[in-house]
Amino acid sequence: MTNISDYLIKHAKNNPDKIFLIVGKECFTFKEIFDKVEKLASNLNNFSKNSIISIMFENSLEFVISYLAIIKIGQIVHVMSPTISKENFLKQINSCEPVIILTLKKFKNLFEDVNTNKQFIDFYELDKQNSTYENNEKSEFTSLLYTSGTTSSPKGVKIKNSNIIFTTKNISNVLEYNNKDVDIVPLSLSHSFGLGCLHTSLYNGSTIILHKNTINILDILDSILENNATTLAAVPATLTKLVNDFPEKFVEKCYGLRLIITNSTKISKNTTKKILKLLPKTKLATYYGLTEASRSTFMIFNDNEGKEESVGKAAPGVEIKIVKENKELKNGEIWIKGENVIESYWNSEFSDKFEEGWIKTGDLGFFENEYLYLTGRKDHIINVGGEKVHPEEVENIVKKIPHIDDVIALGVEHELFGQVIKIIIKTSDESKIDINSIITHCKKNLERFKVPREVEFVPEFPKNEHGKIIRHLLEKNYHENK
Amino acid sequence: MDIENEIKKVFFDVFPNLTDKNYGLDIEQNDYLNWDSFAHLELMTGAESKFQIKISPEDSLSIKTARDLLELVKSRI
Repeated sequence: MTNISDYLIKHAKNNPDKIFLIVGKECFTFKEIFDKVEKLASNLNNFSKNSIISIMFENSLEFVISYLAIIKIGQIVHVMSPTISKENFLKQINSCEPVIILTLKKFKNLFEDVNTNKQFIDFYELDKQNSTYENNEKSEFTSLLYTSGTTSSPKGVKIKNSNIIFTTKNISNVLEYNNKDVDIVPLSLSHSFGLGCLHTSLYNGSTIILHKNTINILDILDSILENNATTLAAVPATLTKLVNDFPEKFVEKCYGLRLIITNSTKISKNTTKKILKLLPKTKLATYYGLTEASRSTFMIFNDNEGKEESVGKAAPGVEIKIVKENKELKNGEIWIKGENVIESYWNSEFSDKFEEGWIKTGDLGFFENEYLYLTGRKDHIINVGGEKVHPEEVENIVKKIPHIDDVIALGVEHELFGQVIKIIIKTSDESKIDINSIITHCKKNLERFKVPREVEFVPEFPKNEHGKIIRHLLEKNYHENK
Repeated sequence: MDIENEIKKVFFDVFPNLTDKNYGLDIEQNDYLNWDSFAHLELMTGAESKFQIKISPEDSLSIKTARDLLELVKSRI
């Protein structure tokens, strides 16, 4: 069975001295990464088949080595970001029951007061050991990533080797990645978009330059020119900031790029047009997908003037259909089928999301001349800069504050992040509630992108005849009054 | 106004888990565990509203420590 880690063996053999990974000021060749992966794999090789090993790193050498080593030994790698909230950390660990959590001391310290019996192992402590590698029977599953589910249960997305290989080949073929590419990736590897970039660089034998985040956006631009980079993968918020705030530097540093690829949330028409105008020779592409159905469509904007708001056509080998509640409607739920689609969630939860090989995405959209257009969500999930947020998760945290009778979280438009969270609070005594203390409470208990940016007080919520809050009416009121 | 103390308050607002022990004027961005793009935006808007100044995108990118923000604010008020 081929898995993505096998491509490291191939490139370490054929191109041992070629630079594979650049993080910060450090460069590592394929052979160096291969040796480090082999060593860690040997030290991790004492678990039974289908064991889960959790990893918690920022974008770093340690992430890449751990991720590839766990895949190499045929176990399942559970990927967590160090910025995860304690509540979500515990939910994920209780759900997947890892044999160990591989991380660094500085991240372990963040979760010291979380009540779990799972063992944290420091990457460098493990790396000091000298065990012997034995080839185990490998799991067909490679990785486990959790996405926003309902409050009580995050959805564990278990990804097969075959899902990854299928998707990586599609990315490489459609976007013409090759071993001469130098790929700039300022995206978290804890998400499907970033991981897909790592897979693509590894599959093609190109060079990947990882950035920890996008705060120092000019450092990213500098690294493009300094390394003669050919591709840039970035979320729409990063691209919007670049073309709005630094258009001259963007042109100066990026003129050599053959490809800019974006994803995670729909890129705005304005940003698309600005990039195409500033860098007419660079291909600008996006794709639509979920962690559960990665890269389901591709769109190359240069070839499709006038279709800037579409996410493109179905990827090769992927079927997409629109399931409408009523034939007269233009919109319907997007269902996807193909080798990029997972078979089920972890522990076979949420089985109602699958039907005869199709996954029901919850996204709404329509087709026009084979081009897919997204129009919203069937549920109320909010997309903050590509991060999905279930409103109930925010609401349950806010409800813990005294004097708040009820609360609704909505997604409201934001220039940079697409959407941000607004909370509407029902209270009988507004004077007893301090907005700053609500925000501080949220910051302590939620990941940062889930923290509300706007707060409004109301005396009552609109309710239906059963006493249930009519959420879509609040959303409609917001859009009409903004 | 004690600008240094006010800057500290901006940082403590954005990072509620900070303590006197792990806060310092010269601690670098990379040493904060959750100084991400959202946090950076909050630091800038927090300083802008507290000191009634406007921080340009270029200036915003030069802020990598609390001291950087302190120096920027001092030069503006």
